[in-house]
Amino acid sequence: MKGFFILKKTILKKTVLLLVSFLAIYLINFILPRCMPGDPFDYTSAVVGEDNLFEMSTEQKEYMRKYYGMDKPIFTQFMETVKQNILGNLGESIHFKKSVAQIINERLPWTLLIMTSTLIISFILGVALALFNDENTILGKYIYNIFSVIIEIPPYIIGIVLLFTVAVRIKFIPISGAVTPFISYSSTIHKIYDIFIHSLVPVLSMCIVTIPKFYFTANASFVDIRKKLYVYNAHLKGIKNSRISYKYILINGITPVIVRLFLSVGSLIGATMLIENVFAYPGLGLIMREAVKYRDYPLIQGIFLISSILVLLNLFVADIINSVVAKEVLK
Amino acid sequence: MKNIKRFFSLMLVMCILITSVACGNTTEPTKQTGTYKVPTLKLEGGTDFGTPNPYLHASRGPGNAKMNLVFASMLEKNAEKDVQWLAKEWSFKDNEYTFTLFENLKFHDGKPLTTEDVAFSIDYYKNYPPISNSLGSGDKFIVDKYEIVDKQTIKIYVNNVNANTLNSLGSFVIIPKHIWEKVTDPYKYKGEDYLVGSGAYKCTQYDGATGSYEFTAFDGWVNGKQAAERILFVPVSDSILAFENGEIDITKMPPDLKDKYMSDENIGYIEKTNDMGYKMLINYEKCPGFLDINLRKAIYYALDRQSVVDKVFRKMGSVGSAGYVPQDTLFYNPDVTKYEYNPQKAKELMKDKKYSVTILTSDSAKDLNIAEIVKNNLAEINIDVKVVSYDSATRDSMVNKGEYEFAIVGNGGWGNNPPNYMRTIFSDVAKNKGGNPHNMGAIGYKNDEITDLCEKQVFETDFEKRKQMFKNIQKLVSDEIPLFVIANESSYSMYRINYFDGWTKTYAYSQAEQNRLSFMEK
Amino acid sequence: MKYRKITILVVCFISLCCIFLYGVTFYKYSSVLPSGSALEKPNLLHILGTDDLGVDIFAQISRSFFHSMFIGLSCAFITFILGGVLGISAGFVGGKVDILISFFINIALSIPQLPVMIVLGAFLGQRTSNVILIISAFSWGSIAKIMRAKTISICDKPFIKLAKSYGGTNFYIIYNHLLRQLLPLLSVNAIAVIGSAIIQESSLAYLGLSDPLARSWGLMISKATRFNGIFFTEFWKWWLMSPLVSLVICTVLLRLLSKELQQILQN
Repeated sequence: MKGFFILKKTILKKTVLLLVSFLAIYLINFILPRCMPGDPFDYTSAVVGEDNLFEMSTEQKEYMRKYYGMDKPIFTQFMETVKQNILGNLGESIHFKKSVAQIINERLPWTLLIMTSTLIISFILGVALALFNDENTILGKYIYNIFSVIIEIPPYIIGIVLLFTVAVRIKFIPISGAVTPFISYSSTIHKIYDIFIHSLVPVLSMCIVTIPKFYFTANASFVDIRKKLYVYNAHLKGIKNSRISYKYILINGITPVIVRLFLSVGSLIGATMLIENVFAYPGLGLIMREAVKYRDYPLIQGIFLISSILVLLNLFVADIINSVVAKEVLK
Repeated sequence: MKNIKRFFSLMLVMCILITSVACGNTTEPTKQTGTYKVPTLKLEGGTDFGTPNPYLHASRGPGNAKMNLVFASMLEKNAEKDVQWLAKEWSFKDNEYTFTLFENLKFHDGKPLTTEDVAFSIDYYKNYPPISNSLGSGDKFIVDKYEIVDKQTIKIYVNNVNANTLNSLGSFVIIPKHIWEKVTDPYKYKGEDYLVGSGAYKCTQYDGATGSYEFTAFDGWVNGKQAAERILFVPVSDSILAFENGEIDITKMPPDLKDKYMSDENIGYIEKTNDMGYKMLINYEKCPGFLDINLRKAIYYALDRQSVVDKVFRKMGSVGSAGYVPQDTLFYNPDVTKYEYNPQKAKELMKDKKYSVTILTSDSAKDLNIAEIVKNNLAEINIDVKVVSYDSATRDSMVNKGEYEFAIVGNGGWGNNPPNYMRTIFSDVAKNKGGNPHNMGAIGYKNDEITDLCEKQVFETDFEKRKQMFKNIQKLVSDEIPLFVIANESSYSMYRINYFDGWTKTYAYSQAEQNRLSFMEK
Repeated sequence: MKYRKITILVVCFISLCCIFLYGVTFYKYSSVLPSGSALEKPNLLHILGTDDLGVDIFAQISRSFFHSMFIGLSCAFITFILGGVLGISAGFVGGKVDILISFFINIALSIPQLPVMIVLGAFLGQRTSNVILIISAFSWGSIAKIMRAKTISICDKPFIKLAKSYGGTNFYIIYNHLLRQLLPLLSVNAIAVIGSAIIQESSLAYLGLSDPLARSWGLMISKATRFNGIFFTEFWKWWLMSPLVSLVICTVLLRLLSKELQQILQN
């Protein structure tokens, strides 16, 4: 009972911390883009290679600034934004002339697809490897050593290497995009295949780095469990190795790996955004760069908000799991 | 559990996303009326340039060009002159401009297009300026009033006539009255009929995330026949690879593969002669020393501009004319003063003076390389240069506000109409309105003679006289040197001749890929 | 025997430094000015070929190495100071100070890094000093967290309590007891920052948000991958692969080195 009480208290504390952090990030998120030099209507320069016959007159710029409420003092703008956001409205993108919610709706699924596939695949493979790999064999040692090198390479570098060595050479692997443009699918399987083959190399590049991460976490946890008395007893009882691996080691040692899963979302968002830029994959990372380039405040804020919420929530979940585990220990 | 749920909801969202293609326009499928010259024309896409309607396209050239496929204006330009588009005849006298539309014009939903819609568009644009706005806004709105003569003829009266008026009136796009009269917030309007246009092509598919567009020929189009049944903007990873694989039909020719493609007889190309240009601006308020004409001449003589062409442009281009208008264009004056690379002469003109300045550039590779060359050249005549570089948006706002000593600015469109830019750069009355770094002239510099000529040419409607005035302006500019023209870069678009060779430029804009006439049968 | 692995790593790293040192000193080509024709294959004169402007690639890579090391070391130094001071004071002083500092640590750790870096990079302008600031702003949090926890655990130990009860001043306790135990941990963690800072700089450079005037591996990679028709030619084999391989070797060496140090510290 006392353990439960402590747990409730910690969760409450964590929740307060979550909310306060969210507010702080929200404030940073509002102020930062507005401090950037240049504004969405000023930036009309033709980038090299992009001819531009486009230009807004001073009067028109004034009109547009007024339309988007950018002529008001910054505090009024802030209150407006807060009001709109509470109502669930993320605002209108100035460059793309769409609602930010719509753009995020178009892009977020792709980012999530890459991220979740990476997480799921790496989690399963990492844990499986840790479960069955014996570090005392030569092969096991090799895996360990290779992994400890690979883990230090940023995913986008692996992405570039795979792009040039694999994707460009093999005809049926596309080198960019998320679906074949203007295709009419003959069946659902065809559609799934198309999405799969486009995400193959990006996901692969991420997995190469994340599998070792999960492997090491799982390995450390499993090594501890393996030393426990009850595992030793189970061996003595003559229970089959595979059963021990599953029933004892996996079930008891998986928690730190799950915590790791939630904790890695933060760094994974960054990695995904970079990978998207390598493969021109139409997720949030690609649009984020354009939003910054065109100083599209509402869009920058929207993307930032979504990724912050994602990271915060996952950290929160990881914290809660940790607290629950601590409670178990208290009992 | 959480992950599984998330995964399923992701799958669900994805399915919804893929099935609901963003282009909400569901007019009945095109009837197969006759065959087109080619079934499809595929161009490089991949960037979201917004929804192709007057209020929702991105404020960039390609966004505007896509909108112009779907929505038609009254006039169009070919390589030499203004030509018919929605209007079959036009005339003007004093401030009265008369346009006569073709008969049986239709919008994409089949409703007739009449002068009623033209008038409505003018009124609507006055209240809600579109993204690409040729009519001006607020007090600068150029139309005074109009008079609908009949269903095909409309008379438009403007406030002030100048040489650009016909162009302005000819290029605003016509929107359907029956749809937009109900709309009060066009910047947000997303009704299902928001893409019903008046142009030769309909937008039949648009996906912002992948930057893919599909335009289908509109069978109710009256003025000529479309060249392709469909125009596709396809996202590609590498344009050359895509061109080789036949995924796209036209692309930019990279300088290093120029020889290979030029010698291939199956490949045709369009040259954009000297269209991209780089200039160096001085803010004289911060560097008053350079108001001394000898110093400016010294700088010109010190710059090895040929090496910019050779190294940075990889020989595709030419040394800039000191008179600003690039060589090999209609308005170019070959008699401008020329400044050959001559470090010795430069040193003599400098007379042992020493300066140190900062040069502002953008962070693009070409800008930086040019800055590097300029820096090395100026070091020889005792001008010590520090290069600072910012991303384009920051650079633009700094140039507009005059927060620089020297600045290198590069932009396209030098091959376009000089009347469009000479005045805004060199006239002391018109320049430095902070609109666009391309149109910024020298800050803290005045020249009455140049200003006078620039202002007068606006009202000169005789083409030859006007051309002569521009030649005089160039000569003056080359002698007085308000700013430095470094070099012009040419580029080439290449295409397969035996598939489609209808690519053309307009007299005022050299992007064949963005020209409506490229997609029409000749 | 215990130090065999670390010796190998150090020797490798020093030889890497020497190779690149040769590249910026005795090597006859400039890393800025063109010295050959464009996109030359690796040959006897230009051992790693040239880029699109005819600038020697080996010279550029060598200069990038020192640029990257400068960024890495500066970030390590800043995080050493910032993370150390904040972490130790949070753990030592406790109370409101601890709550405040912990709050900032939490925020620093929970903001998604890359999006903020992109915005900050564009906002502050692309100076090398700003890149260092941005990277440091994201590196100090985890170090401060570690230091805070360690400080608390040391402060709980009897000898600190004893020292306090004997009337030892805070300065005396921090200097004689805490720092002696904390410094090695702090240094090793700061060293780990060097490698990750180099990676982060290259990511920023790849997105076009690093100092465009400096020579940097990330910038070279980004330039090469954006070259029109790069897939269609074989330029990538030297233009892209050279900076890429250098980046990977350098960061992996640094990271392994810091890990090895961490392990030695634990045993």
